[in-house]
Amino acid sequence: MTGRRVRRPPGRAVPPGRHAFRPAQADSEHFRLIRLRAGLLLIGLLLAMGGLGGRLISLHIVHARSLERLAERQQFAELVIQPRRGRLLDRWGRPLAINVDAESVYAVPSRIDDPAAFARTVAPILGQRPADVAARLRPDRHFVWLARRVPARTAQQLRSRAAHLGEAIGFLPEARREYPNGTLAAHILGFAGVDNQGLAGAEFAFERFLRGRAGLAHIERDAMGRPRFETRTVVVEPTDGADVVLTIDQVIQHIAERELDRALEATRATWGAALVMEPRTGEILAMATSPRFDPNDFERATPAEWNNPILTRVYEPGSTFKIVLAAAALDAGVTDERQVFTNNGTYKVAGYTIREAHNRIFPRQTLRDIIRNSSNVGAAMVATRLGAEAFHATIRRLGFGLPTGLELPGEAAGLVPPPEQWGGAKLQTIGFGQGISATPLQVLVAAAALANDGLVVRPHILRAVRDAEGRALEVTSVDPGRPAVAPGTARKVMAMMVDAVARGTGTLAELDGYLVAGKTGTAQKPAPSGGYLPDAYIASFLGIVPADRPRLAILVLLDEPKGEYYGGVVAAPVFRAIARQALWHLRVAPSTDAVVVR
Amino acid sequence: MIAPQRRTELFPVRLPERIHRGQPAVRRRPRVHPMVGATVMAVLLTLPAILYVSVRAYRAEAGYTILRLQSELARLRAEHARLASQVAALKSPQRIEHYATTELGMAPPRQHQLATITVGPAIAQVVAPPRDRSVWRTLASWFGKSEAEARERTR
Repeated sequence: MTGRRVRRPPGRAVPPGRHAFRPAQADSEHFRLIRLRAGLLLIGLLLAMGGLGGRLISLHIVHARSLERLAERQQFAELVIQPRRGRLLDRWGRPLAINVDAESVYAVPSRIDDPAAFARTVAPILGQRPADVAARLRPDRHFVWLARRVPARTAQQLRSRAAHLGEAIGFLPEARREYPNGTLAAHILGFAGVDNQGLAGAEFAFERFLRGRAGLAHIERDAMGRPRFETRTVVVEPTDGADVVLTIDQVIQHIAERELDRALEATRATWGAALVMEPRTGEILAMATSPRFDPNDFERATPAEWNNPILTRVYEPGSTFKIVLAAAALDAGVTDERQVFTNNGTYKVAGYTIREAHNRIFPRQTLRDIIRNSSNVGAAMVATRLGAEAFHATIRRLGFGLPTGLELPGEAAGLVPPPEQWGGAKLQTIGFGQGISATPLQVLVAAAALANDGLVVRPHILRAVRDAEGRALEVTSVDPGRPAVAPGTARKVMAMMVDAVARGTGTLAELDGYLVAGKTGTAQKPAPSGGYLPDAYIASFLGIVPADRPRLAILVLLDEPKGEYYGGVVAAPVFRAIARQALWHLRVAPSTDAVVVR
Repeated sequence: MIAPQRRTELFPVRLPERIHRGQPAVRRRPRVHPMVGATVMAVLLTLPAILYVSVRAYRAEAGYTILRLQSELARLRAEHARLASQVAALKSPQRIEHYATTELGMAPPRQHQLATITVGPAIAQVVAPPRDRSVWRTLASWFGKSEAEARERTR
């Protein structure tokens, strides 16, 4: 033990009688043990410190960037604040399309042990085929939608029955568009898609108002992933979609649809349409078609059924077009109400022979008689006297051949051939509504012009746009109208239409207490290969009521009615039923002393 | 080494007590116990930190409360929307008509069951009360009220 000295406190000597070397040896061993332990501890500490230092270098230098990004991703989030889609309301603020929160169902295929069993459990509740569900559950995927925006009842059912599935299935809240009136006004409203974007009808046309603007916020999350509200910074404020107020009256729409459905059932027509318009302002009060689809379940309907036939289908207006001829002839001054047109039941022109329906004969007719009797021969004679140029000009002034400008999508322009192409007997056939095609809306707009002293007003379906607080953002102003025919001419044609209802082909449209102006139409349907289809007709009735102070312009149209097919027989009663109830609803008092220019 | 010895010595002498003439006695600052000082210092140093942490905790708690309330608000809105949808469906003309005709045995009125009541002239007969249209009132209207009222003429 050389070199090792035991330090002893001064003044303390080895007690007498004891060997001095023994304590010194024990102390030395004890201190050696202590040194050993201290050395080991020091090494351990150094290693730990080294490890920590290495870890620090690894975290702060080597992996700093990636960890920073990871931390940012975990702590900070961009929150997209979804706006609420605006509602569609009728003219009195009654909701036609609203938002309802619904739940979407998703699966986590990577956590599903038996996809087939999972599919067998889930698919029947969702109304899907188990094979389709199973096909989507690829085990390498971590997320797959099972169904979007399911009804609350379905979600509840799924929760109770699929409780044992644990984390393999999940639910997310999403806003769903709902149409509380079912099929009512389906063709007007259209529908919104799975991501709440307008796809058809008013939903599509007014998307710019309804959609709103999504907001953006930055937010921090806590350790559990919950957003910390106090750290939220709104970068872009969200703007909710505006409510769109339509000109539609829910009650009149229902009346029109109900009466149309009854007519379709009675006549077994393939489809029908009823259009109700305020002639002074151009506001569409109802636009009914039958059959319809349910916008709540639009996937079940075919794309062809989504189309609004009042805007997209063109047809030959038939005898209802005679009022256009009368207006053109009176406006051009080629005839008046007293002039008599004589014939023997046929009219030959350019090798064609024009006859009356059912070979009737009206030997002496004024223009008023021609309208009242719906005489094809008389109309052909008036058209011949009028000439193609003047007739074409009036037709175009009344809005045929161009879309009316209604806000809804897909409006057809119709077909008005230029006068140069009116060879043969085209001029004469156009006189009674064959050889020209128009949409039901165009026909009604032209008739409304006659009720409006010759002014054509642009039809519209947008009444106003309101923000979430109910403030008006946009209000459709009343169109002053553009003159198409002289006011005197319009009044004379109206008087002829009153006569047609009172004593002519439209007597079934007469309404107690109200003066009705109207015109029947029974048009043959053109065949795709040329000519006309045998026994295929479009029956229609065009009416304005009350004729002395017009409030409603109504067009009823039935395609291919079976059995009776005359407009005056099948369409006029529908007009009467709609007009009577709509006038009651609008509180239009009956007038027994109505005076019309005769 | 040789050095002179210090010869002066100090002896205690009792002096007469000093008479204070109107001046307050100088009070000695009491000595503060070191533990108290340390405690005060510790409190002064830690109090802002505690306050800061408390405020942060309160903010976080308030944030969670807001989140919870927002969630509740969303739930209530969803419930409101669902109820509004139900109300709209219940008020739909189809349903009301079906209920009226099938359950209540009602039918649409016929023409002779309707009566028209003219109310226009009765409203027109209501006479507006006379109004004070003095010069002063007109001037007051110009300056204190609306221009429209000032321009309004007496009938």
